[in-house]
Amino acid sequence: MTGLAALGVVPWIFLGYFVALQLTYVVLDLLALGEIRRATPPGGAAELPQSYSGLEPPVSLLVPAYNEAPTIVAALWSMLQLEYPSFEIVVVNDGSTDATLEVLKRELDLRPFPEATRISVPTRRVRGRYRSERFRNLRVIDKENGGKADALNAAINSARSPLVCVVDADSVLQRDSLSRAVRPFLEDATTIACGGTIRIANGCRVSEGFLEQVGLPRSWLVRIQVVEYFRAFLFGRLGWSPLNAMLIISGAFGVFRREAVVAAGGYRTDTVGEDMDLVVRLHRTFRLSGTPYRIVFVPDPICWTEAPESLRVLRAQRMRWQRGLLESLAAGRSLLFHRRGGAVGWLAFPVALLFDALGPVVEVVGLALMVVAVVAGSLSVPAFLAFLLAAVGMGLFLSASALLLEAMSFHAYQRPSQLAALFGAMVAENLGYRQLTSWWRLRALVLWLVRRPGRWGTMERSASWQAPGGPR
Amino acid sequence: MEAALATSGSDALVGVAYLIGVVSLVLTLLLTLQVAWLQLAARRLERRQRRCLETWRPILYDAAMGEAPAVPPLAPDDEATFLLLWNQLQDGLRGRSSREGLNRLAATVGAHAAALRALARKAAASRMLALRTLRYLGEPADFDRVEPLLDAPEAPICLAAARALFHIDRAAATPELWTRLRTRVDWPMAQVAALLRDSDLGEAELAGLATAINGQVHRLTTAELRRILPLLAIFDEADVSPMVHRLLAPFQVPEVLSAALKEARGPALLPDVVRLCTHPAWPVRTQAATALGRLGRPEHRDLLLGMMADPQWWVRYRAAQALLSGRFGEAGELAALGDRLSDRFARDILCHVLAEGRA
Repeated sequence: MTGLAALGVVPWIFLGYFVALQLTYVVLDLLALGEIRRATPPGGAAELPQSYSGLEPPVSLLVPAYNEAPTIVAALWSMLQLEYPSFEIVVVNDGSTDATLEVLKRELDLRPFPEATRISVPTRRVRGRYRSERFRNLRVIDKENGGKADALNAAINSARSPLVCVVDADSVLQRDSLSRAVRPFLEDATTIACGGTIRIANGCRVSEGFLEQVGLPRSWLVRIQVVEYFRAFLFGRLGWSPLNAMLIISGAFGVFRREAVVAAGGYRTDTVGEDMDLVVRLHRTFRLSGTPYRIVFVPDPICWTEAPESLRVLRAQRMRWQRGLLESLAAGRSLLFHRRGGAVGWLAFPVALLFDALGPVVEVVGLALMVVAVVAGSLSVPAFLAFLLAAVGMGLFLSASALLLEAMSFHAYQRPSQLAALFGAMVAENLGYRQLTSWWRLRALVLWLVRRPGRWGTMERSASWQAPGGPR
Repeated sequence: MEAALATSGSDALVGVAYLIGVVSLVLTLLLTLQVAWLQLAARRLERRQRRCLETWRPILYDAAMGEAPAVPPLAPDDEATFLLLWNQLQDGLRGRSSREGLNRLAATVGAHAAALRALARKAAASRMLALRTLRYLGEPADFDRVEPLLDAPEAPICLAAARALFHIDRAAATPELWTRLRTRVDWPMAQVAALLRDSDLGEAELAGLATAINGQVHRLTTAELRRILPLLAIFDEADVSPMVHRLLAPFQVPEVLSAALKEARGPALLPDVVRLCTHPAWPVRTQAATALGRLGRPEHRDLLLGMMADPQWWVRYRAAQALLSGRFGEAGELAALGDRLSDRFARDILCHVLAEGRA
């Protein structure tokens, strides 16, 4: 077989891969559709008096903070107003180099507190522990810098409640976020973790830490990410949930059974994808020990977060996510096709490996080879366009089905102009954006293979959606 | 020949690719149109609901205040919105006379018939709304209509039916609920507890339910016991103490012991609690320490001091909290005692809990 003839096989591989990928997503889409019908309470159910039963377990909110001096107090103010019968907030100042600790001390009236802590997971040295005189359910741990995972481990050591809720300091929560996320733990005692839908806050109006009005951002880059988030959460995760095979709970908001996290060894500090890594290890720990467990997803939009507005920050974020994915899959590889692996080991893991981890290789290399084949004359231009049409068409179809799931369930974007904008973002996502992010992900894969250390990078936050507000 | 085959193969491939692309684009267009239609329908519904609310809200308020407002006919399309508003007002009202005013208005507009029509529909939303309405209307004749819904596959429907039944006839509803509690593992026990708490059960009904649980407790599996035990919190201590005593027997598994210790409220259970303070499972010791804080006597102080040196943090923490509950001496005296403790963990935890008390 000559080189040119070999190039002729490329379109077959490319097309076959895309058909397999899109079919997988269609199946997930259908699973998500069933799940959304099941999970959305019958009309009027939400209107029933939601009195607390007294059986809700207390929750510890764990808030890692690194150089968050300008925003930390407003964020905590909104968390303090969450509607839940019993919760405490554990803030970890992870060796901030700005005035985070001073701001906390001043605004929350912190006093040193002689806490007798359990060291369930090892962490960097804790320099001090404080308790707020203003809010009795708020404590602050000051420790040496060790990264987000290390800060969360310190918070886990200090948490007193059976359930811990991991929240980013810049997350915008719904007032009933905790109630919604804790519900699966009340309904099934084997639930060990629960994630929820994360939405993009850019373009929304936020006041005093709470979302007042849903809106779309002006930036097309962020609008595309809105559509991406629909896909990622409404069927990417919701589809895996009924199979108990969800591999990630977003680091922005997730509720975990503390004992389960400790049993899995806490957060790993040598990865940039600590959120996915923890969920994979939870699966591995419970699957391999044969202990019944559930890791579930509630489709309710319970947390809003700021998306990158510049290509530079987006690139850093996507490269970090890809690296986190690769590190988590590599660390949890013993689950792959393990006899006790269940749906995780036999379905979710291979899909993540084939389509999420190696997908960028096939997409970028496949596209490049097809261009070469066209130039070399072994692939005609109409054939090239046909393959492009198939890839873009299926991508559009999946984005549109995610949009439909959103319209059927939460219906957050109600104006016709918003629908038009989302449709435009859907098209732009498949014509350029997706290829660009695939290129970044491929670069992350190569850097990971050559063992270049990963970095968290810096998220530049404009918080333009955030109206002023704070403790009064 | 080979070249011809290759060409026809790639032609077929290109054809498949075109087909996939075109079908996907058509489906995308259809889905987008459906989203647009859903948006349009939602906006139309919203406008109609707004008009309905503007018409009926003042009328319903007047009715709740005991007045007799002029009542327009209720359009069939507005029935669901009317019932929702009527129920929301009922939810927020206190006082019999306000409820009677709303019920009179409901009778005038034919809300009962509307609720029965909604109950007959397949949509869970309609049945839910109907059950809420029938609950507030409280017609004894509806008991038999609602009772079969306790066996609906959807837990929210079952619990709404249970709420309605308890409102219509508490005495008859109690055994119906209990017979299903064992088998319906999908019913969130937290919501069942809330339902029973909100139902203002009388002493006799509570005692009857406690007797029913007590009579079957030995037949329940560990999983069933774990699920049902939190319900005991709503009963009087005297009704549940004999049952809890049986559940604190040495042969019980740690999960049951922990759950039962949470419900240990009577002094008669003190010997059981003391015995379980040295149980090998630490969750049991933790609950035993907490229970000792509720029931213990001064002579148990040394037992708690010993538990403050337990290898498990939660046992130490609960033991220290129990020690400082006021039953075992003054805080100052106990702090001085803590200074003399030889175990560092015990000293630390006492210091921690004392600081919590001061904060």
